[in-house]
Amino acid sequence: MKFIEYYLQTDSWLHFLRELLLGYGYFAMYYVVVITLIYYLIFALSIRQTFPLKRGIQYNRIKKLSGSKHLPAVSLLVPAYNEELTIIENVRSLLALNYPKYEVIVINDGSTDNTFQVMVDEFKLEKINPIVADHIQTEKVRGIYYNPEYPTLYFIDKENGGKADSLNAGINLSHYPLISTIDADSLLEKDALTRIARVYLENPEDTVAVGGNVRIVNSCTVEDGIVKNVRFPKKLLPALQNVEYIKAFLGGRIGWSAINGLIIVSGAFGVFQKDKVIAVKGYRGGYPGEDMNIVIKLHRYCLENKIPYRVAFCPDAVCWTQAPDTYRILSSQRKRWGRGNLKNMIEEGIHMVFRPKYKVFGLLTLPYNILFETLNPYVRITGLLAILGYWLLNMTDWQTLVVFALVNFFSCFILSLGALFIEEAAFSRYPRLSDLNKMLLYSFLMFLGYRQLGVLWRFLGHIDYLRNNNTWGTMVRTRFNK
Amino acid sequence: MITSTNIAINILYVLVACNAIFMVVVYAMKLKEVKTRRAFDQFQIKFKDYLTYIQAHLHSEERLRLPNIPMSQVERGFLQDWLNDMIESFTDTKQRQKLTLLCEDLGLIEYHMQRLGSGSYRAKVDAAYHLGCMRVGEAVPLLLKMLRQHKHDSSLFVIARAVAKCARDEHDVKQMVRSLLKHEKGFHDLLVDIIQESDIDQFALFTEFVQEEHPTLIMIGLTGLKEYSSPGVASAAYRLIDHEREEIQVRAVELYLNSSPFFPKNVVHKLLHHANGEIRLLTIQALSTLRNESFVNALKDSLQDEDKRVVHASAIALINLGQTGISALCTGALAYRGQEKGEWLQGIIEEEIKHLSTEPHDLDKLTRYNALLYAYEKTLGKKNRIYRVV
Repeated sequence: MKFIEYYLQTDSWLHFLRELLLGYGYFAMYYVVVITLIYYLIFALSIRQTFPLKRGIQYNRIKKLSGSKHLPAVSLLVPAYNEELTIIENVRSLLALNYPKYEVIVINDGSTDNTFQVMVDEFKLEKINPIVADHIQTEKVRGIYYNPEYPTLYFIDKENGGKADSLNAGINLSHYPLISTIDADSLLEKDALTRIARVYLENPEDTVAVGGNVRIVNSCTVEDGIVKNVRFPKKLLPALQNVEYIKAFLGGRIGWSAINGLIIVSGAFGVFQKDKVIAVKGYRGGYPGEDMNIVIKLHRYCLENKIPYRVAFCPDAVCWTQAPDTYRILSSQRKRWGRGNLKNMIEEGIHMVFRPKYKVFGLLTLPYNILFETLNPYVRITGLLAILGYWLLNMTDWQTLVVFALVNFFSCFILSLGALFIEEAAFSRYPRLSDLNKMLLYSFLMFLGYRQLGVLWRFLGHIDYLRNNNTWGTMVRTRFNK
Repeated sequence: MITSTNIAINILYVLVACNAIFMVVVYAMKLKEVKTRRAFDQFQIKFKDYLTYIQAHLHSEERLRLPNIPMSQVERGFLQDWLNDMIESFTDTKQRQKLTLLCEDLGLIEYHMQRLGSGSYRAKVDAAYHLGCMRVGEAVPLLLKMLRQHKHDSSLFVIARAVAKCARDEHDVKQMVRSLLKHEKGFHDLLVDIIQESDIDQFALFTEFVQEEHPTLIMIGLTGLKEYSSPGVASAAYRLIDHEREEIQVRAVELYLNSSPFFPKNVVHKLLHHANGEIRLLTIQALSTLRNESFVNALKDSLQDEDKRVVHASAIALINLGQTGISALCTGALAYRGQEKGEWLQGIIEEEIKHLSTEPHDLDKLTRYNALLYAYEKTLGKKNRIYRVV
């Protein structure tokens, strides 16, 4: 009798589990359909923008424009923490930009290596006492250094306070109405600033920020801070990141910017209206993800104050960056991104999401970001467990799983193809046919472990957030090749 | 479940087909690009002599001859791009006209004029760009028509630039500017850059804009006149110093200070007491460049300014004035002794002394150094000299 009772109980439990899994299956299906539709919408917008973008690039004589006296003056802010290996080459490349009026402000964020000494020795800098505005509170500035022989270079030495704090210190010293943030491990193309300025000049009243395109420099030949020979990365991890960046920047950001829903301007290279950044109290310190945070705050500020604005993206303004080439550094970077994203959504996103007042940003960008980016690891992990459940409870067979896996693969792979279409149609930066073969190969290889690792790193980033770990994580710099 | 799988299989077929099509398109584009690059390399070899001939005969009187080798459509396009670059690189209209004549003989102008009137938007913008490069005056009416109907995006400025390059007279440029005014996005800097591509009398046009009522036209005028220096410009700018718009006030003051041959004291007084700190700073910077001792008192008074940038600029301007200015600065600093501002001013003086002490080979700087050190020790009562130059 007890056996029958147990059987019945177990049977009802199994029934419940089956119902639960079936319900989850429907939820997951709708989730995937919605996310795919949004992806396709954004990709369609990106592709639609490709030809106007191409015309803008083709018919605006950038070389001539870079000599124009009417380009806006820009302050380039370069935060540096333990960048002794790359800082000199980076600064030299910045000092040689084809741009009429700009200044380079390097901010040493209390580096523990020789960044300070390397800069002072290389450029023979001396301490000065210039006027520094107090727009934003920062950690203590130890000194500001300058050499009249390099009239456009300023060097701030300050106590460690993080990247955001360094940028705020740079803003306080900056002399021009536009600021540009550039990572110390990145190289700007000579005309990148002119290209971004062109986008700004076409609508200076509304443009509060313009993001540049970030490309991977690994395996390219760099001479005197200039990328001479563009090559597809030879190592596995940078190669995977390369196709990932092309997809994110060309396939995603062009489309989001077309509807003024861009949520991030890459910290590696972006230009902002200084007064608007000051109005939102500068960069949020003490936590990664400051590049996303500042853009969210700008959207919020402009929408709440009914200021017409746009956050634009300029894919032809290129900044070359070193991609992590080891598992340890890449995982550390991605966990940091995961933490930053979660923090931004909790701090800012939830106050704006689904509120019509915040227009496209509140009704599409943020729901997409919260449901399909921030919460994505949980859906993926539970999805994997559900598949296990379907198999254990005989709710599916391998043919069905293969069909759904293939649908998932091809629906995602077409997005990679879309990004490559934009790349070839408008930019074609990788000249050889073999580069395209490699890009396709790595777009395929991304599905075999890399994407899954991305989900895991994001999840681990969330755990770090809950543990209150707000460190920057591991980052090792290597010299740009000669 | 069976139904779902069947639907999924159907979707899979569609997706595989779409992927395959997309892949073919991407590869076709890549192959086309590789082919175009190779064709360009061949063009450079094949037409090397002809391109050298053009460069060599640009300054001669005779009309440039057409190439004696038959050209394909792709090669014609390469030659067009090469000629565009050449035309753009010349500021002298004589060479430009000679190259434009060659374009006409090659049939490029006729070809692009036809495309400008075609139904394809892509062809029209492309034609507008090329006609602009070739400075084809006959294209202006069509370009202006296109401009009037165009929305605000990058191509709008491509067409506007084409109008400016092709403009036959001021009227064409004015029409172009007025067509763009309806968008009202504050792009006056870009507009000035575009206007400066035209071969008309730009000074007259900018001066006319400064007299207008429309704030954007005034901004265009003021921005354009920045490169001119004449009393006429100064008086036009002076009239706008009290304009209701702050950005116009700042640009007008900037222009006035750059173009005026002298600054009446009442004007300087007015500018140094302006509510806008930017204007006060611009004025001090202009006085600093002028190095006129009659403004010592005005500069000394500016040491009391609430804006630190103005105070700093005044201190530097006084140092640059020599003995009289330096004495005034030290006296000014003395008035704030014991206060934060006094210490800061003293810091500026000490920094300047330190800086000047490193350049004893420059006689002017050495004189200033000695004067500054003397006044500093005398006024601010430092017993120990900071540096001594022998």
